[in-house]
Amino acid sequence: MRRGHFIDGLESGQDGPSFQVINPATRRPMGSAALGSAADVDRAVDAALAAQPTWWGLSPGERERTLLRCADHLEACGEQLTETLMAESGSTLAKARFEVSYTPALLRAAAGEARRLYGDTFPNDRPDRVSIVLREPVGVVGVISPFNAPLALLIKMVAFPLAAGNAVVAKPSEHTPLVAVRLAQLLSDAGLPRGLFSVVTGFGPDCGKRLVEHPEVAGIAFTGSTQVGSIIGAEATRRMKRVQLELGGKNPVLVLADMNAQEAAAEVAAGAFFHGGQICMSGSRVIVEAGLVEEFTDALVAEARKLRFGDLADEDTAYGPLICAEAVERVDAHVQDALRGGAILLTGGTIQEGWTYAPTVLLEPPRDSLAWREETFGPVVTVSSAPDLEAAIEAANESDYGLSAAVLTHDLARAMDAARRIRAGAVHLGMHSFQSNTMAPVGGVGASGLGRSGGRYSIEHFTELKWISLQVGGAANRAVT
Amino acid sequence: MTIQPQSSQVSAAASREWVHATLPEVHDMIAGERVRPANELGFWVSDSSTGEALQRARSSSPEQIERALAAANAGFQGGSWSGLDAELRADALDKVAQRLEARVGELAELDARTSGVTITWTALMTRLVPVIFRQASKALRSGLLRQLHPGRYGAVEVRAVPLGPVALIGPWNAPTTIIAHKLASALAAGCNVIIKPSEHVPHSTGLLVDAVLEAGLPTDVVQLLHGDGAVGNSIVSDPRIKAVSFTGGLTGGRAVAAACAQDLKPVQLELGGNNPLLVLADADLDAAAEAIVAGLTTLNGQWCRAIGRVIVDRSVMAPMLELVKTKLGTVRLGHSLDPQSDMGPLVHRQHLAQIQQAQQSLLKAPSSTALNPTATPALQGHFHPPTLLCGVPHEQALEELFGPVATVHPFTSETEAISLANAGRYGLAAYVFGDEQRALELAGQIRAGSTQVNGLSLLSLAPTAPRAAWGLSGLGDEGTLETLRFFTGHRVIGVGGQPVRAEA
Repeated sequence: MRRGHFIDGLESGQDGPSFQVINPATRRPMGSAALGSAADVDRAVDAALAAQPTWWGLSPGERERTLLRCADHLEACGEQLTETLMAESGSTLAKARFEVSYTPALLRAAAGEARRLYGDTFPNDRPDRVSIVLREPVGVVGVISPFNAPLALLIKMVAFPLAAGNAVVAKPSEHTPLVAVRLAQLLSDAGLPRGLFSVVTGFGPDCGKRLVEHPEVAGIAFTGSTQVGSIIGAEATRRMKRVQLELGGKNPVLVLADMNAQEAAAEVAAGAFFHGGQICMSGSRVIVEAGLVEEFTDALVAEARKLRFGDLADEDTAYGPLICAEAVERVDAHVQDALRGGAILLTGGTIQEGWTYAPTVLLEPPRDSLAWREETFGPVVTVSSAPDLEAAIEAANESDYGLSAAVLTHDLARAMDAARRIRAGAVHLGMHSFQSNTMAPVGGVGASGLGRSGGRYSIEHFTELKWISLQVGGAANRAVT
Repeated sequence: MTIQPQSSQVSAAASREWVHATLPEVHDMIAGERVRPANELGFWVSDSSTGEALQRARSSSPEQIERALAAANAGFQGGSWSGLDAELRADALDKVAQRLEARVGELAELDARTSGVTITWTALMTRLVPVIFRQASKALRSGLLRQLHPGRYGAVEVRAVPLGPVALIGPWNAPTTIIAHKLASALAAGCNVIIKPSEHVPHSTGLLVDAVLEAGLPTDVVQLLHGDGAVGNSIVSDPRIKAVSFTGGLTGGRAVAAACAQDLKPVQLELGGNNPLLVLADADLDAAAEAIVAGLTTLNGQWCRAIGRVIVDRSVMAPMLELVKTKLGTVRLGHSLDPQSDMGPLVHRQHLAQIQQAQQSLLKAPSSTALNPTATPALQGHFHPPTLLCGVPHEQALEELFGPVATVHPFTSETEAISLANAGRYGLAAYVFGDEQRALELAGQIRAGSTQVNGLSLLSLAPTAPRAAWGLSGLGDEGTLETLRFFTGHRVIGVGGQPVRAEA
């Protein structure tokens, strides 16, 4: 498969310079994508600038209808994307299907928002004046999307800005460019006006950088690592751009002593090992209240060992490979560092095949270890014990990150107490920390990012407020008395 | 770690087949009753190859230790085993051997999993376990416990009688075989025993004890306890214990000897060494290099007669190191349960850290280098490649490392070679490679319990020869007859005799 960019309603650049896309399961090329340059980004931005005023000029109902048509089309043809998702990102069939089914859901949620670009009015000291606040699109939004959920996270960053009347230029992760190009093609087929959503494939230093620096790009949405996010945030802010960053996490999961160990372990495993832990909201630091530690770790080890890897198309396959060799090295370095520091390896810690890393459980990682402090972005969960809830909350907050957290207990009072005191963008009670909802504000505090995405929170991010004052009769320059 | 498709494919096969071991629960055996050791030791027994912690290590409680001591003592006093005719004890030992023959595979797998010694080696050594019991039975049938000495008024009977309840404490490198040797000998002598295996490899001994009881020996003959040195100390220092046989490190050995000194208990210590391997100018360099590699890799370099120092005639140093390098490059370091592995991981993570640390400190010497071309597998186990350290000053290389690391030192005269070989305070084993006649002459000048000429093997060259240890390497010889005798005391009984009057 050789694909070009998707710019201004057309695929282009198929014959130009390209780069290989590696299937992480086979570690062999599965296709190639156009190697984008700053000039390609400029073309896409020009197309976006040309298309956006017309799009914003449509009625909210027309924008809503267009996005609903896109949703319907993706529901009908989205299945086509499953194979590309699996081959490009190492997704299991189940995970790819989830992404494919989540895409129309997000488009529909966004479509509804087109009618809810709420403004405001406020009272004025002068009865002959009216103050109105209007909400308007920022214009062109640049989107830089990640490899872990290359379809769901891309459409999320694209659909809401579109609903708000913006145009979007996206630069997908170089690991997963092809699904993005196919998505843009499908939306175009469904009737999304040309130029509104372009995809330029390539690498950060060429395309991503230009997108962030382009003077006509007014907003930036980035999902990815904290390291890259902080650079993008700085560059975008320097240019007074709206910027929304959804970055890493080192998400704590508290397991309180009233839990059934088996149930808690199953929930923790589901949240930690989904897609090999390559999810920013994966629960990677489990903090267990004293009394349940031994029973819980035994159950968690059993859960981890139940998971099977293998043919991604097989429904029993629970996880696939990590995205690349560097990811395997990072994950293994985190495990080795923890072991050197005295953590106990309860299961895993090995490369099973190629880039597939075994689900790994580490007991009592030292507080200065990488596995405790840094985002591992792999199938590694640490278990620490805490004498009581107080200590568990303290441990949970011992992180620069603050994306998502979870508390497993049946005691609602303790759960709410913990939820209020844990420093995170989300706290999930009675479930693991990786939860999706089209309308929820997703984002984190501290090193986990800036702003929230989803539902009206995305709309708020990619719109500007305009205060309009209206003199209703009389003289404008009358002094206030 | 390097990520290469090929090496990870190999490890993938290994980890798929043997991953996720489960270990049987450890149990104490007290007067025939299986009980769970009541306390936790605060660390985990791990799969040495994958590094996975498998089970929290457990320790017998003071109350359990007391019950075991009481049972061993009562059993001995009751005489159900110690009072048995030697012939019947020999029959019972044969039955134990028979039971064990069916279980050597299990023993080998348990030892390989927890000690990291490759299955090829543990299989070889556990096959010896029933043989050891048969040898003890045979020794017993030879009548050595009862001798008649001609006397002035008729024959005097010299009886070798069991000393009493005895304690057997084992190491982690070859757990089953070493405990089996002590156990078979003590049982042959007629002693009731308390066994404490190493806390890092506690499982196989449980099987051994089961086999003894299944063979129908009285239930209070063998007690099994678990724990670390503190548990060992409670056992050996109890006045009801009449003799102790210990295999392990120097620190543990000294502690046992000190505890035994209080009651003047006989103690047998089999400890470590820093064993020299001499390569003379006329040696078969290929054979010497082969022996060096074997010395570094056998039991993953963790054996008491492993090579500590390679002492080489300066004129053949370069070609010999080249040969060793080539051979080390082909060593397959891998999962201990993989029959393809030539060598496995070290026993536990702390031991690996110790070896790494010791190696680093030896390499602080200026112009010292490490020769370690063996590839390490992509497993989280406690792997350390077999390594020769060159350029380390000899006086810094005299401690025991108990790992796959040896130092290399040149010599220019045979006098110097012998003086280097005899430096240090250990005296367990030595190896000499060279013209056989000359090598045999030099062997006679080396201060060590055994010296092998133009060869190196884990097993003794002669099964009936004593295994001797000099200096800090131990106390008292081991061997089928030696260890049996160790557990006995002499009782001389004769008839007649007149008061002696001074003649005028």
